[in-house]
Amino acid sequence: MKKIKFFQFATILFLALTFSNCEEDGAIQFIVVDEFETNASVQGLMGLSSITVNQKMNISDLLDNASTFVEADVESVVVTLQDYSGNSISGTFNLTVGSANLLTNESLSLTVGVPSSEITIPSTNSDILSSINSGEVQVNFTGATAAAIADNDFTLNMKFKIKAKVE
Amino acid sequence: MKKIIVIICLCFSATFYGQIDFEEIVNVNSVDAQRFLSGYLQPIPRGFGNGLSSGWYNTAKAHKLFGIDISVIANMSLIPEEGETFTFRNSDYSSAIQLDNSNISEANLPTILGSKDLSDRPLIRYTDSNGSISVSALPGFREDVKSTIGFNAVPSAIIQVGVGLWKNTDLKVRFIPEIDSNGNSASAFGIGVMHDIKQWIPFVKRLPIDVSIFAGYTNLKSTVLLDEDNNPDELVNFNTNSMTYQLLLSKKLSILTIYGGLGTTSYNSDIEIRGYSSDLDFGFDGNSFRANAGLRFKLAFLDISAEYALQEYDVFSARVGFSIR
Repeated sequence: MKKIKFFQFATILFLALTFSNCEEDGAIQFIVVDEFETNASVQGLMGLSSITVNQKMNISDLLDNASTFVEADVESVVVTLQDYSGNSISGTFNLTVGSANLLTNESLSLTVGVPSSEITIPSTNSDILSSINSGEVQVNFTGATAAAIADNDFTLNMKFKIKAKVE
Repeated sequence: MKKIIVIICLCFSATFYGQIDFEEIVNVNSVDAQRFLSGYLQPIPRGFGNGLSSGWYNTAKAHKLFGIDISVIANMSLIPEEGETFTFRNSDYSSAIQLDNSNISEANLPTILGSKDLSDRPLIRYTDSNGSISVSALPGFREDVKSTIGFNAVPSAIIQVGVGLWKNTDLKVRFIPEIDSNGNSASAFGIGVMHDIKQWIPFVKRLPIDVSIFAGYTNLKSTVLLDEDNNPDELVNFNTNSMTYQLLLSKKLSILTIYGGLGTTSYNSDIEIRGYSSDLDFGFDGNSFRANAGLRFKLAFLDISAEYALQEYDVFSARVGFSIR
């Protein structure tokens, strides 16, 4: 009986030694590409010809079960004008996420309810890793409009495609 | 203890690292999930299927009447290169799971024992009513297994007892005692018969070698709870049957015995995943020619041997035990 127990022990020991460290050798990385929207409420600008919007956006869903961001880049952005009493807003605009200047003096013509064409962010400007704080990033949209703003309360919807490497 | 039970534990726990975890894949679409996981997991059941067919004998010479041997047998089922990837074709899947790169229609993705490098894991786009998300294909654990055991292999171990019966016939029984840990369990049982045929063939019986035929069957069963604390209903049942038929030859040279065999091996494995929005069942089977050669060292009762077998997944086996008569 003792001999049987020895063999049982040896079998289990072999399997234990074989598998016990298999899943602990180095972090596993994933690339994730997902879209995040933020709706910026723009109020009190009627009659003016400049826009300044500050908005926080939570991108922690990119992590899901991972624990840290290794890389994070904005690949593209689409802007949509919503709930605006005029027809459109045109002008040159700047868009920053954290310290990354995604767009500088970008000419845009935003028609109510119509998403802008997808604006691809150059890879030299797309890195937002250092700007992520507790899963959130600060979005700033500023610019000068070609004509005076015709509404005191409207929304700018910004949809970002973000590519992140997480582990 | 959970890790001991079965290697498939590894793959399921591994998938929880990622953005798309196992549960999300299972819940996307049962047909897609079944197809995807069949490709991803395939080296595990194939590895066990091949590994369990090995290590049955280390001589073609049967015991004397009531002679006995008892051994621990360790098998390494080596993963071939083709077992490290599986082909993902967009056309095989619904629009819920597609390759993210629209310029290609198929790609090789790592299996559970393939690469975990991001460069080997193209993006997969998952789509549901909430939109799309693209995530790197699930990682393989080739490097982790290699760093642990030195080979990319599926290991298995079993205890075996052989008894000499009449007419130069050995009965072999192998088993893994029931291991049970918080609902996770594993056990194995196998039976084999080796019979000396040299005694029945005129002239051949005078040859200075031993010649036998062998048939063996092994069954491995296990249950792994995927989330034993929160969702004990989420589990995997893994069941593998393996058969081996061979003609054996051996030659004893003092304390050494050279042995080998020719024949076939076959297996079927079933994986059942329970506790999610839909049950998933998939099976694997295979058969191949089997040729093996080994060397046995026997000093008094001590019995040590090692062999290498060429088959669907080549298997290296080592065995330590005692043999009397």
